[in-house]
Amino acid sequence: MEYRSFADLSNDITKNLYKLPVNVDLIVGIPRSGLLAGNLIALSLNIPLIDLDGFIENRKPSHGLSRETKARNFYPREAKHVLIVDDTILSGKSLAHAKNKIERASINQPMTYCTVYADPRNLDKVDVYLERLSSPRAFEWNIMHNHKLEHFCVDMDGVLCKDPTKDEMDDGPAYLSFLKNTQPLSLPSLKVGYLITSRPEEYRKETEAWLSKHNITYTKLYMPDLAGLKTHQKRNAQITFKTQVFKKYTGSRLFIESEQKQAMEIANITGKPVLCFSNQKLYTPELSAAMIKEKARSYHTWTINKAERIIGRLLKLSGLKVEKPVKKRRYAS
Amino acid sequence: MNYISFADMGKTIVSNLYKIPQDVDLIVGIPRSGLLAGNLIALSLNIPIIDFDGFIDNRKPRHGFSRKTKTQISFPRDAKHVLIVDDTIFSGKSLAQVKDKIERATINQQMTYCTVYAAPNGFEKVDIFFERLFPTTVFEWNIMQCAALKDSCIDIDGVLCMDPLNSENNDGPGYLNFLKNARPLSLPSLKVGYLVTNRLEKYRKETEAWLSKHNIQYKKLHMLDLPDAETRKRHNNYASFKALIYKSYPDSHFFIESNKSQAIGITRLAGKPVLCFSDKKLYTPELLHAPVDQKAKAYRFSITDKVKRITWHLLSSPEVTVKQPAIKNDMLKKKIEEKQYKNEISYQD
Repeated sequence: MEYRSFADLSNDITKNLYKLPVNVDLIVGIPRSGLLAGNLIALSLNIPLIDLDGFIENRKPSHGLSRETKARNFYPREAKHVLIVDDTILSGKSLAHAKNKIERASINQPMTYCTVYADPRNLDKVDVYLERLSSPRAFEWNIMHNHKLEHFCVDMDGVLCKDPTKDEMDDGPAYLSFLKNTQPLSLPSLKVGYLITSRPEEYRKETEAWLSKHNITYTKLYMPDLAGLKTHQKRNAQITFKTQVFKKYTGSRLFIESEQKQAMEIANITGKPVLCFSNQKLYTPELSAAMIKEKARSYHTWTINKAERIIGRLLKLSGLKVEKPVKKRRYAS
Repeated sequence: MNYISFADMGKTIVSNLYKIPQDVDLIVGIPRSGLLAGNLIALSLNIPIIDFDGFIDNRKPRHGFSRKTKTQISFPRDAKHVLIVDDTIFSGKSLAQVKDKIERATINQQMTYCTVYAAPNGFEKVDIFFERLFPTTVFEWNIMQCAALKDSCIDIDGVLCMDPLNSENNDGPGYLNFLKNARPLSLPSLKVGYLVTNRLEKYRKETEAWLSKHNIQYKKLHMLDLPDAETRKRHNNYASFKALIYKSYPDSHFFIESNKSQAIGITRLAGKPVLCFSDKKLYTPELLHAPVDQKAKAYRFSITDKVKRITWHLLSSPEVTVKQPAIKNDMLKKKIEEKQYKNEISYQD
């Protein structure tokens, strides 16, 4: 799983500006996320920017009121070299759509098609790409509106809504009003897989009411039973609960968690990727300690078995009669 | 001085999305940097976006091929609640222009004005802002157009033009070709202060020709006075030359440098802030002190540890007899035994 945040996008663009053709003097962004990438390129190079429709209709690129771009009175048809930008190329479908549109308008200008990220299998479909990115991948700007969301596990506080403040965590009237009126943060526009929250089970009614108020559809809502636990026990119970549910759904490929420490722990324990929403980082199982330990253990038994087999063969060749070593079972995951 | 990069703006927007009214169904971005902010908001909330001219002309907002927006409106006039986004509000002048344009087009829709950053005397004029701005803030997207540039020091390679490739950086014909046809990267639109480069003095003519070709105005060009690239490599004091010149101009308040390690070196030597262009970070002397302090603390511990160990060795050897209270000796001994025990445990793991 690959994940790119907005900060990554801006870094990847500024780092790779030299890959763009030299004499580009107009950027065309394919709405909406291609326009975002195009906007970053246009601002970095101080070149006029226009969206795809405006380019086809030959509209004057608009510029800020405070800043002068290189040319004030400039129409897209006058551009010497046009750079058409999209954020990613996966199948090449949306780029082909744009190409088709431009061809139908019979525009004959030097044009270069560019994407910031390109799938390694489709590198030839685009003229210039800035970075390779293999799928499955997700982006900060579409993670909550992705059709894969149906298979994700999502935390509530800090992702769908704001985290409660310390005053609101009183298990009393303030907490109830928080549950009722909390501000939504990132609302998904599609059905979410599994909502896994650390809110206690006794607040299920209020939580479900809030979710239906904001039109959030989901397969199932999981809440832990924290009755009778002390505060310091609660945190551990929340993590074990989250990991258990996440582990149970083998088809679920990503957990979106708000807190960094919990995200790391969940990735460590389950060996599946966890996206931390607060710092927009993906914690992958490849990096987790649990994975490394497991791998080391399997290597360990593998080497021992191999050594035993070689020694056995040597002994056989030498003609000595030795009892066969008991084979160690390979580490079962 | 403060510096805000694209990445900082993205973080600010995403963490403040809850401030946007929930019934907003169209985002209008004011080109170009306001369009960027608006675009990020629109993508995060999955709402249609249009630029300001398109909104005035009532053009149909477009969305991506692969994704449908949450709210479907065919024309901007159908929107129930419009959010007009700009990146910053300073004096409210550009906002007044925007409002004026909307009034002249006689648009009567529910509208909310929103900016990502608000200057101290402008935040009352917008309906929503995400973050208050400190005075003297520079943005990644207007650094080359800001007035503060007139006294600052700027590096050439990696800032004004692309860095030379390794194959070009050979002090020969390839390098001359690079000097002539270097690709411009970020060109200032105002007169800048001092250009400080590690290019050699003997290439002054070519450098000045390139600068005048791209209409770059500057007060003075400082170049490294060494015979050839080989000597420059041997001297290996890229940062100190730049820091010396930066220090000699007391009213120069920032330096734009392309290389990270040089940026840190200049900050340390000159004691003034340096903006690193490659990782978009501002290095200030205060920021550099923090890791140094940490290192100093770590050294202090390691030195006291070492001294303790040596004294213990001396005390425990049979030849040397030092008058020392027995209890203290035991304490040290105990400590080191504990340490050894801990080490053993960590090895077993």
